[in-house]
Amino acid sequence: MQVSKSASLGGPIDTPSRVYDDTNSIYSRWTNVSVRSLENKTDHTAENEKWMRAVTDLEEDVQNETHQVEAHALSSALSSNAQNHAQQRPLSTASSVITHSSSSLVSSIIPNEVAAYPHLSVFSGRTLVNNQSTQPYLPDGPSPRGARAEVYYPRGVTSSTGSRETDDKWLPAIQSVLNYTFRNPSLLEEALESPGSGVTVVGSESRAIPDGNLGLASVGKKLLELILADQAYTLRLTKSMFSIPLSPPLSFDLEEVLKRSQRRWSLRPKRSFTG
Amino acid sequence: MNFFEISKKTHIRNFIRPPLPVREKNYLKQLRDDAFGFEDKTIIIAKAIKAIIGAIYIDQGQPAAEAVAKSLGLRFQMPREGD
Repeated sequence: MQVSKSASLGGPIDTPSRVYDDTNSIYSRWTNVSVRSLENKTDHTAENEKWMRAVTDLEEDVQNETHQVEAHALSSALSSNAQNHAQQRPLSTASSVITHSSSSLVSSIIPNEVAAYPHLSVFSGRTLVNNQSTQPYLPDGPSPRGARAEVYYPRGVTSSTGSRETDDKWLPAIQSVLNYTFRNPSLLEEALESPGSGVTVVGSESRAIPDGNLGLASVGKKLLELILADQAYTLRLTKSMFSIPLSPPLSFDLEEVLKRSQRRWSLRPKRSFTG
Repeated sequence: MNFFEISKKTHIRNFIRPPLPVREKNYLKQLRDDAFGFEDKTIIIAKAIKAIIGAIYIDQGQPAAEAVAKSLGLRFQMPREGD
């Protein structure tokens, strides 16, 4: 008696025996990861299609114009007592006329495109050639970085994070908490991006922050140390009173500092004098 | 008061963007991180608050940064007269 393989396994093979549940995994937060393109969010496919359509239209128009201009140039050359010159250099005369006319044609048809895309050059009065393989840098156009998208977490270190409000209202919320208005809000944005968060550009000026807030954190740490040292000097606090590490746990309550110093003093082992 | 308590009190921790997880090559470490959440968030918060102070210093100078540090309780606080 032959038993089929699927029957011996006790069911269809495709049925998953175990379902991996990763809802408690930290990688489940990848589902909440938001993808945003950087500033200048332009659809480059649409931009390229529009640009290529403009180029093909221009090529057709220039070819039509070329035939007309060739006929006009040859007839004018023949009729205006320049027959010898036209016989010697008919093509160069025509091409110069065509080049001029085609450039004026380009500027008359799509002046904005000509101004915005300097690589749209006219060669030999006949064809428009895209001499750059990639999208060029345009001062008033899309970003030179292209349509990149970066992956990062939503704002918030605690477990209940990722709301839309924290991503949008970080500036007014923190300014109200600190009772301080930033002249340059991108500095605060930089301070809130921890290193390795995936965000490498902040602000409207697209300032690069490859290390996140590490630079600002070192500045802030040194400034806090300076403030405390200044205050300790003015209050005549000895070094043993405020020699508490700045990293957590912090304690700047003066009474607690004094208590700690007294406790430390009291816990000091007494010297035993002999004799 | 430490940095974590400050962030908890002022809700600043809700606006700090955490780092992306690093995929460990060691599977046991990866399991441990997945199970217990091994990443220390207090360090992230402490760095962010120091960075905020540094940003204020760069933005408007030391007096503004000192005022904000004082409002956050990051200075020696003198005991009140009634205490």
